[in-house]
Amino acid sequence: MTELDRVRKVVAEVLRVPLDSLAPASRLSELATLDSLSLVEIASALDDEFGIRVPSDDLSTAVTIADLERIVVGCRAAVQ
Amino acid sequence: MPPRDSRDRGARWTELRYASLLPRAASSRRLGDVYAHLVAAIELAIDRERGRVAVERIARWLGRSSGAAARIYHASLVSEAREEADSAYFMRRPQTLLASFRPSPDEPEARRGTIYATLHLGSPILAYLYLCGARGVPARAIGRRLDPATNQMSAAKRSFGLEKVAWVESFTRQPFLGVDAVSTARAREHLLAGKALYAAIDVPADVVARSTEIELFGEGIRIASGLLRLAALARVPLQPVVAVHRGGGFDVLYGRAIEFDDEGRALALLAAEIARFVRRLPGEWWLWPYLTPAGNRS
Repeated sequence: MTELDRVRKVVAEVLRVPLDSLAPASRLSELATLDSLSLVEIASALDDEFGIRVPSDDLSTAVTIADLERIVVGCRAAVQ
Repeated sequence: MPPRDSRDRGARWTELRYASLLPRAASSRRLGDVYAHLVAAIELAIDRERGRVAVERIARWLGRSSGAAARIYHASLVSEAREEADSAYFMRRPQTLLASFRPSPDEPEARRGTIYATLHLGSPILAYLYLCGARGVPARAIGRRLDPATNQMSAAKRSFGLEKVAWVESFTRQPFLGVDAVSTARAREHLLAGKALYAAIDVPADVVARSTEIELFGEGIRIASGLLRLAALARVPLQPVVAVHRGGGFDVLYGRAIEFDDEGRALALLAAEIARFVRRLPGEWWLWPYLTPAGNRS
């Protein structure tokens, strides 16, 4: 499973949306009704999935699934 | 909605309260006490429906007569107004504040990553200043911004609120965290860095996006669940804490810390802690008329 697939799986589970509705360009705000906790829930799930800590400032810049993947890749590179 | 005459009268009273009376109440503790009792008497008189709801709930939950319940409700109005007067007083004399606290004999050890959970009871903001100033807890308070677009309070009340927020931020050297997505992400970061947050845990559900049901005194009510979710996600405990005005000073009281390894169990423990404080200090809890029954979801 690629990192993108794993990010998609995490987002699908947290936002409770079908996995096949998530493309790299999918905008998080259009997938579900997001509230102030949604991004934190995604961040925590990404932390658990990848064994990283997603920084809040990076997180708040994420607009799409691809943005999240890029953040994850950056975090993993930083810890290696 | 109350008739227009009644609303106008309420608006004039609020303006008088915050623009004229509260600044005078800041002159001395004795005038603060006079302010608290005057405000309670007038609030009691101008909103009888609110009082009826509160007194019925107090009588039902605590098994008191309606007369005793009415006295508890009156005391809770005094408590809320006294918190304003105390804040206004210490805003003018911040150097005297910390000496006014009597620490709890069972002060918990400072722990890494904790959410200090207060109630709308006694002196919640002054308790925060005690934690930061006297205990050295690296806590940031969470609060809603006083945005005129979403919060239609009177100009004088907003002005006092803004002045108070600025004072608290200056005293603690910590800006408040908001409740938007960016602030919530920063709150998580703060906890993961081993620091602390401070917020009210008994926020009624009708002013928030997410809520959960707890059982208090045999009845289901809905409270905001964001803070509970944040504690679970960051895997940090909730530490209940309140401060109450006693004899010119303040007592600091702690509840039992609640771990969030099991959310269902944690909710039950939280309800028990809220009930314990309310049973012990019913005349200090401000929310008697404002709770959201479990039937009203948000």
